[in-house]
Amino acid sequence: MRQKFWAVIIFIAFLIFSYIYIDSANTSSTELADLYINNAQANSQVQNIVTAIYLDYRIFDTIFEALLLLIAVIAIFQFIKLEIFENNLEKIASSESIDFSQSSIQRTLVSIIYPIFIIFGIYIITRGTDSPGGGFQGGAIMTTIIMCRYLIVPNERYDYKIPYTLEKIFYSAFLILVFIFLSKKISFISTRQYIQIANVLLGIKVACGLSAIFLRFIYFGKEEAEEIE
Amino acid sequence: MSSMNPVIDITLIVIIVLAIFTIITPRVRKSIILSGIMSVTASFAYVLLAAPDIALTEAVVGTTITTVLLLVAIKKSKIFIVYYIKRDEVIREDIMKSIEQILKESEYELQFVCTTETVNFLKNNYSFELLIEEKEDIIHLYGEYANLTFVDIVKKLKSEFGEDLISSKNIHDIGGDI
Repeated sequence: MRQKFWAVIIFIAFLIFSYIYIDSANTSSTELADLYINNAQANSQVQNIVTAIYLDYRIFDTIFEALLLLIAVIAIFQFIKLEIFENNLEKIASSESIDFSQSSIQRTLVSIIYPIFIIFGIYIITRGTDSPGGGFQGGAIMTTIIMCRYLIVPNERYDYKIPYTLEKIFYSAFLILVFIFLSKKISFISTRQYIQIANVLLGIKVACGLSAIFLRFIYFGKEEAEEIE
Repeated sequence: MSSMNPVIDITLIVIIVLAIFTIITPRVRKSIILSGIMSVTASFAYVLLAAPDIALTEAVVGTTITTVLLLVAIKKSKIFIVYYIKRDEVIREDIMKSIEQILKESEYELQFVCTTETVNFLKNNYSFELLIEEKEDIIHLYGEYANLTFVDIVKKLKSEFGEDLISSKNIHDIGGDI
């Protein structure tokens, strides 16, 4: 307990001193910021500068960030024991669909609310060009669809392989689109259309990846207490 | 502080206070929920600093996905499976109460299964952490000695019921004839 207390005190002192130090450093050159603010909206034909930066100016950062998420999903599937997982999947698939031990208030209200999440997710993904939003944000919102469905019917069989495979397909499609756009030899897509399609592909890719993680977690080690006679 | 808006200052101080509480609480579930609240406050701070995209991302990822995934992980990993071999249709309630008391201290969830199979059958086909068998007034406890909770349970039951009424064995050491 004493060690925790001193660790917290030292950490807070470090935060305060680093804030004072950074605040007192003068930043007088704003060349890069001026370049983005003056030219981004005209060159990329979109109004949202953040979207233009992560899909047009710094596209390689986005490629590797999406690849990082993909590798994290693969690692989770690799390191959780597969034997437990496969055995319990058969047991769960044979039980009934509605679990009456869960509260019916939760089931009714969540089933009313979750279509709104779908519409909200699609809205945030497709409105990434002119207002705040974009691929990553909308993709994270779309994963709540699987979570809501799990709250309503927890005993139904969810196939974890479907989002796991779909994520890779959408990521490959996103890479193909990026390299078509960057090569400049095939120039039938304007920048604005490229950004719109790339947002949609990224959003669905992120949604599939996070759903795969969630489905893998809920099936791990789940056994039902039963009487064996 | 050199910022001009007092609301931003208050929000940042609230974030620090919540972070301190997250580290200090002894219960795991409380700290998960507090970290979710901290994410919401951070998202509010991002809105005040004129970054709406980041506020959206932080609100969704920090609150929904991280909190739900951590809670699911806690629930799935803290399950203690106990198999009880019945002979006379009677379960010793006092043994189960002592076991439940120990599990409550270390935040484990008890999963209790009654069965009439033999020890070898259960050892080969099912996975568990504690196996209780009653044979002629002696209670046999089978488990892995590397599991600290099992060792705690054995110690506590021996101190409550006497040394000669409880016997414990490592589950990997039993032969084929039990």
